[in-house]
Amino acid sequence: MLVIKDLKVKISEVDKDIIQGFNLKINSGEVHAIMGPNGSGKSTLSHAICGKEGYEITGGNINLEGRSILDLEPQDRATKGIFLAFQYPLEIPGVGNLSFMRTALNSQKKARQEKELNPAEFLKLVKEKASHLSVDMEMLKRPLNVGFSGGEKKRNEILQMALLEPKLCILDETDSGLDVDAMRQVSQGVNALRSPNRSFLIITHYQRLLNHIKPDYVHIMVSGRIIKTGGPDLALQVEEKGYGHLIANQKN
Amino acid sequence: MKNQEKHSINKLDNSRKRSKWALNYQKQCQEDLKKVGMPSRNAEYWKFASPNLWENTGLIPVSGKNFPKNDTQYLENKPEYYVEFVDGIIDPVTLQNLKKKLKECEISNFEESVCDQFHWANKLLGKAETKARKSYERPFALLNGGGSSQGIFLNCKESPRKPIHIFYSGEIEEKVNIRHLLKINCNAELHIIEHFSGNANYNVVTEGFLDSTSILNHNRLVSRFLRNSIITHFFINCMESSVVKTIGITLNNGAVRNETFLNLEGSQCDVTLAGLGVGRNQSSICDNSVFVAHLENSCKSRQIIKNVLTQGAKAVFQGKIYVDPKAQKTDGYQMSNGLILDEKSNFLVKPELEIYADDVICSHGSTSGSLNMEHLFYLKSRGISTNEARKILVEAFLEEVIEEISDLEFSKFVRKEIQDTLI
Repeated sequence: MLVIKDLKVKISEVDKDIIQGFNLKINSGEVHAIMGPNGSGKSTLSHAICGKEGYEITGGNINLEGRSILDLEPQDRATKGIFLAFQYPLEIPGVGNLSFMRTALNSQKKARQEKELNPAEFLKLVKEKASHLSVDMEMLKRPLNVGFSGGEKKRNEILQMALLEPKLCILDETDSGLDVDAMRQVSQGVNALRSPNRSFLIITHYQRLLNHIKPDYVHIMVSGRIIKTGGPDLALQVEEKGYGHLIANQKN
Repeated sequence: MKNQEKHSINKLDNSRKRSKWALNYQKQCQEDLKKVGMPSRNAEYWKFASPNLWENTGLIPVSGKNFPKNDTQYLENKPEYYVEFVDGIIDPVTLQNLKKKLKECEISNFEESVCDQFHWANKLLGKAETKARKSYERPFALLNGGGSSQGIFLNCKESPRKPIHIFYSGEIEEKVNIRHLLKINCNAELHIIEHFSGNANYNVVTEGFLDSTSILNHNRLVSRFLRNSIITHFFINCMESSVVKTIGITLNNGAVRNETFLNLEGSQCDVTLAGLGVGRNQSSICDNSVFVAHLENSCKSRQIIKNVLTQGAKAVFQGKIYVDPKAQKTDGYQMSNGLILDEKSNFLVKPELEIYADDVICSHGSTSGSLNMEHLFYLKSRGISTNEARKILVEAFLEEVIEEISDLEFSKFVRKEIQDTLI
């Protein structure tokens, strides 16, 4: 599904590679978690995969289903099946939540030369998906993320994910700002989307999210590269001993 | 309108004699204009946009083909109440129809009003304009007063069920002076929607007199089909507890200047002025000059201005809130925002507060900037194309003004017009 090979990324304003020779392979249906201390390049990685402006690829490659996506615009990468659930979903006054979601879905369908949904068809679909995430019509009618609580914003991200049915879901610190109940609810939404044809890349600081969304692999990222890979136990090890222990081992 | 009909109106105009009160007013305007003179570029309220832009009768080049001859042709349904000015002349058929349907208001055209010695307008014509001139001189309004022969005088006694639409269209490229006079009686509510298109250079003056507890809702759409310049004057006098909401939508590519003067003579008035403009080339100049005079206590005023500018377009906002020593408990607010999409465009703002009372809340703010790149990325990351995402964000920026439009049918129409303008 996703193969990242020797990736090097720098942020335009900073004259230094934030990602330095990053390698990762995610097969269909797999759930990978990336953990790491602040400043290790986790969010930079997610933005680079999605093609955000200002993130310059200075080396290596990102392949999705065997094809490089580096020359694609963010919207084309989305159409190919990449979805990023934002750490801080943006509030955009004046843009209706519902109409934004319909535009997004139909833009992707149009690009894939599929039949677009009319308003009635879309409404039926969104109501069905929203009910699983406790997103009500009142929330859908409001401007995009405006005045939403932290939990509502994250549920709204997962609702978009459910509607767009991507092949690769990147969750960038989705647990940040969530209380225990909200995290459980969001995790249930994510777990409901797990399928043999859909892969997940979960970026998180803490092990607690991984109690709810069980990963197949856990990677520890430090200074722009993966220093250790393991199973769910590795996350428990981090929780218990911190990153310093792993970094020290790596140096030795 | 058929040529024959147009000719017959002109003939009628010439054959009737104006009343003394109207002639006096006309003469006064002409004399005052001689004293005041036309504005120069150095005048304080003209320094951002040259007055020559509104004196020039030459055509401003506008791209596009197949303009409709008038606005009613591109509205899906003709409104129930409407009157039409074609080439600056009122269409008598539409006026007759309106008179027949609209029992709540007494309506007459300009010429028949000013020829009636005892017309209700004789005590009002020019009065709001005179008050507006105390803030600063209005030479183009004087020009209008000295030369207009067209317009509607409307005395609103009860509230019409629906808005009254006024369409301006036509093909001639002349200067057109139009004069409206509105009187809204106690407890009545009037909603006027103006649509400007056609080839003329318009100079329109609207004077409005609101009795206590009356309401005036006013929308002005300068459509993308207007090919020349326009200057409007909206001089409104408000008595106790009256409410005004005036919203201007400017979508054309020519020079547009809207001079608004809201005179709050009674206490507890509530006035809102909102304006949006979409400027798409260097011929596009949208100038909103607003003066809100708080003369009595406990009045509230809000000004919201939004301009989207690209390809060297220019927008000007000069907004002043004046608070008289008597106007305690005033609540004044003013906000202007410019969304500048390239380096060639300009958003020029001059917010002013002049406050002589000590127990007031008055605030003003202004921002200008480009599209938020984080917002753009968010939309694109969901599969929305760059162009579509930019359009969504521009429309979102303007939404705050559109939300102020109370007539749902018209706000839907405006949204569609903005979308078509942004293509």
